[in-house]
This record gives sequence, structure tokens and C-alpha cells, in this order.
Amino acid sequence: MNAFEATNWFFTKAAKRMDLADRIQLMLKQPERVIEVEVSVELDSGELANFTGFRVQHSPARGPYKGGLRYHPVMDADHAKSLASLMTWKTAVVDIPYGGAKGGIDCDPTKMSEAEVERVTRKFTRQIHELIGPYVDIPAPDVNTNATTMAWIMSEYSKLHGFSPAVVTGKPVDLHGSQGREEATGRGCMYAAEELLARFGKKVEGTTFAVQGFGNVGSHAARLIHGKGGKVVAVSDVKGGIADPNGLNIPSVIDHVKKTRSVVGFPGTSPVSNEEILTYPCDVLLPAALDGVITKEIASEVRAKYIVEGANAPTTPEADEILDRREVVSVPDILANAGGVTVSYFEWVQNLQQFKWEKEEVDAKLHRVMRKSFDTVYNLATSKKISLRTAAFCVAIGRVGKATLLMGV
Amino acid sequence: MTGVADYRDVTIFEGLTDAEIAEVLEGSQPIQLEAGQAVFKEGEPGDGLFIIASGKCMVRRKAGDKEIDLAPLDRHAAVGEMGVLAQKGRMASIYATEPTVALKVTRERFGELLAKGSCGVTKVVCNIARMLSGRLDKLNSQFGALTQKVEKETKKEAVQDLRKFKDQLYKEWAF
Repeated sequence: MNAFEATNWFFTKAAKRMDLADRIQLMLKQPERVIEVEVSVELDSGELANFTGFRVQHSPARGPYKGGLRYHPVMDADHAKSLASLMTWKTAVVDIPYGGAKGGIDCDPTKMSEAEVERVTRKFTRQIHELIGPYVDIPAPDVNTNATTMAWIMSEYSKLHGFSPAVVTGKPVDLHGSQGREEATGRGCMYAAEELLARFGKKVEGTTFAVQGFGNVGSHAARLIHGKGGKVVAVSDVKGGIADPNGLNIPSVIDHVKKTRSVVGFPGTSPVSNEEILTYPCDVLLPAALDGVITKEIASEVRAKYIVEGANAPTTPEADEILDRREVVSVPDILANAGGVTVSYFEWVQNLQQFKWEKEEVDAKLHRVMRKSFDTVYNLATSKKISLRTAAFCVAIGRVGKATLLMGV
Repeated sequence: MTGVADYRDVTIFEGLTDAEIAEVLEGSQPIQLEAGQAVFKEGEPGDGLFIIASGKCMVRRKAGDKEIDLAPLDRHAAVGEMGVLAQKGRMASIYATEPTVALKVTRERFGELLAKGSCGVTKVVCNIARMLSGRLDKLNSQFGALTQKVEKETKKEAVQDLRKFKDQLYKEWAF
């Protein structure tokens, strides 16, 4: 089962627990709008390329649509619909005023020149400019798109609508991006871990962590955990992993990665595979790489007592049941990795206010959002005797449902 | 035939002279039935119409795996009229609810009289048509009323969907 199927499965589980009628569930799950455009551009060679671009806008009940734009040759409509709904649930869990969206173009930027990618991006923007906007739909980076892509979208949109930095988030800091955005998801994971441990009378300091994935989320999470006195005993990336039961010197590992492009070979450590890291002895497991890595087989062998999901859908539904039975407590992805979209929201607010916040203010506001969101989810989970994951979905459904009813069906 | 005048109140004989009634009833076979016996059963091929000369009957029809009572039939009621016009399966069953005598006018006899140009039988056919038209009208009204009721019930259900959802969010799952 992949990420989008898992999202639907967990949504349905929560909806059933709330005893929601099938018609209500369908109303909540179905996207508001699906847009498809034909994006033809001239390549550097003179050849005409025909790409398809699309955008799924899931729910407008709580605010403008928010979600990433990915460039990938394989684009699946069902996949996009489910990921759009995931954004609706995620923004609702942290109570930021957005609905979910997802979209992209079926091009392969790894095989294109920068100029070609820019032409595709600007063409796509011209084609959907009436359906996006600061108060309508706010794209953000995703697979194979980045801050530069967002800058191009902002540029093209502003030609048609006037100066509009708030039309996209994830922009370069030098072009109305927000301080603290780059590390936000990792920081959010760290706050989630901190809140979870506090409920069990523990702190990040002195607790052991294993982090799968050392990209944006994993590396920042590991660095911040280390900074708080947490012991990161294992980390891994696409090439493999390293472990040290006494705790890794994460800032040095980061330097090593800058030079060698991988954690592998960091001195004084033993090798550990991407699969082994999931069952490595530690207190907290932090999967921050791919979806579906914690399978039912792995779930039976996980030695961590707690899991903080930095990646989207790293745990399969069958694994989730096994972990529940084994009383391994998971902070679900829609809460744990919501730090990124939360700081995207802060970027949007700063753009609308035309007033920049310092990094300390961004971090403090992120901390407050994560703490408050965790509290709400944890209290509901305790009172209803359900998992944090089900409680998070119930909170999301509750907020989206109320907004939908108040706006009028 | 004695007592023909008695049958003037049979609905399908409305407008017929006594002589015409006698002609239709000539050769009709009286059938004696005990209580509980069937005059005819649902699905059986129709082969004639019946007039209840004495006694009482009940119209019954299948509903799922049960049979339900539809309407009582008194003396001089006519049943199975479609049985003289077409050979379709009987649309309901008729059971005697007390000792009953039913007069059967066969389809063959009816056909003979129609071929002869019998006035009486022609009038009977008109009466049957009028009766069926009345039944169809009644059926249309009932269908219309039923459709409205179903629509109302469906609307009630849909409103309850959202009302229930609101209760769930604000009461059971408030946070």
C-alpha cells in the first residue's frame, strides 16, 4: 500500500470510529475541483514538448488551497487526489487556515535544461493563473521543484496580477521567503518528539534516537535533537547508514555529508542498513525518508518505544495495528511533519502583512502551534482511548466538518 | 335460468337486459367451495371469469414469501375478468372464506358469444374496460402518493445526515 492508499485507509478508520455516514465521508473525501492543462513548450533543440499539468483542489472550507507542485514523468490522478486531501487534514490538525491541494507537471527536470524548466513553469502559471492566488490556491515546492521554481511562478503571476509574493510559499529568503523555513519540518519533528516524551515524564535530553533519512527533514531534526542533548545513535541515507550507541556527533556528520555527499564512512561508527535502522535499539525512531518503510514484518521487530513520523506515510496500516497492539506510541505524520506547512503559513502571513519576522519569532510561533496541536490530539486520544493517529484524523475531520457545515453544504 | 334478475347488481352486467344476462350465464358451471378452498390461484392460466353466487371470498396476493389479504369479495362480485380476455397468469388468488358457490363463465363461451356478435357480451367487455380504467386511475393516484412519500422520507434522511453530523462534531467529538 502506498502513501495515498494509506491516507485513505487511516481517514476511513477515523471516520468509522466517529460513526460517520457513508455520504458524509464521501463529501469530505471528494475534491472540490480537478484542473488539467496541456502544457506545450519549445525545448532548446527547437522540438515541441507536450506535457500535462494539473492541480487537485480538495477542500475550500477552512481557507485557500495549499499544497505542493511536483515535476515528475509519472503522475497519477488518484495519488494526487489523496495527497491533496492529506494536506486538508494536515492543515486542519495544526489549525492553520488552509484547505489541501496538490499538483504538478509530468516533465522530468533531471533531463531538461534550467531554461526549459523555467519555460514550462511560466507557461503552466499562465494557464492556471486564474485558479491560483494569495487567497485562492498557494502552491509550494515538492518533488523536483524548489525555491527557484516558486520564484518563477511568483514572477509570472505578478506580471498578470501585480506584485503578489503571497501566491506561493517556499520562496528564496532573498525574494520574500521566510526565515526558518528550510529547517521547519525537522524542527517540527523535534517539537513533536519533545511533547510526546514529556507525556511520559521524559525529555529529549538523554533519550536515544534513530533517524532514517538525512535529507532536509532528517538532517535538521537530528541536528536540533542533538542540540537539545538528545543522543542520535543511528542515521541513514540512500547510500546506507551509520550507528554509534554512544551517540553521533551530528554537526560533524553534517560536515562529512557536505564533503562526501553521504553519511556512510563517518569515522568511528559501524555500518547499518536502511532496513536495520528501523529496528535499531533506541527510544525514538524517526523515519524521515520514504513511505511504507515500516511494514508488518518490521513493526513486529521495532525496538523503539516511540515513533515520530517525519516522512509522509512511513507506516503501513497493518504495521500501525501491530505497533498499537505492542503499545509503541506513534506521533502520526499529519502532526509530526506539519512544521513545514506551518512555517509556509507564516511566510504567507508575512507576505500579506509585508512585514518580515526574525527567525526567533518564527521558531517561537512554530513551537506554540506544535505544542497546542499536540495537546489537542493527545487529549482527544486519551479521552476516547484511541491512537494518536486516529485522534489526529478525528481532530482534522472535526475542524473541516464544522467549517463545511458553517459555510453551508 | 331462474333468478337472472338477481344478477342485475353484478358490476360487469351493468346496462344488460335480463335476456342478455341470461345469455351470458347460459351454460355457466356452478362451483361449490368450502371455506379455505381456492377459486383460482395466482399465476394459473386464466380460463374464465367467476361470479360469486353465494358466500364470501378474499383476494390474496404474494408478497415475498407470504400471501397477504388484499380485498374481501361479497355475493355477486365478479372476479377473474381478465381470464375471458387473455390467457395471462392470474394476478391474484381468490379463496372462499365461507361455503361459497361461484358461477364460471368460460373463455370459450365468451369467445363464442363475441363471435356471434352478442350484445350482452359486448356490453360486458365495455364494463370490464371501464372497471380496469378506474383501477388504473386509482393505481396512478396511489403511485403518485407513494412517490411523494418516498421523496419526503429521502429528504428527511438527507437532512438527518447533516444534522447527525453536526451533533457528532459538536457533542460526541468536541475538543
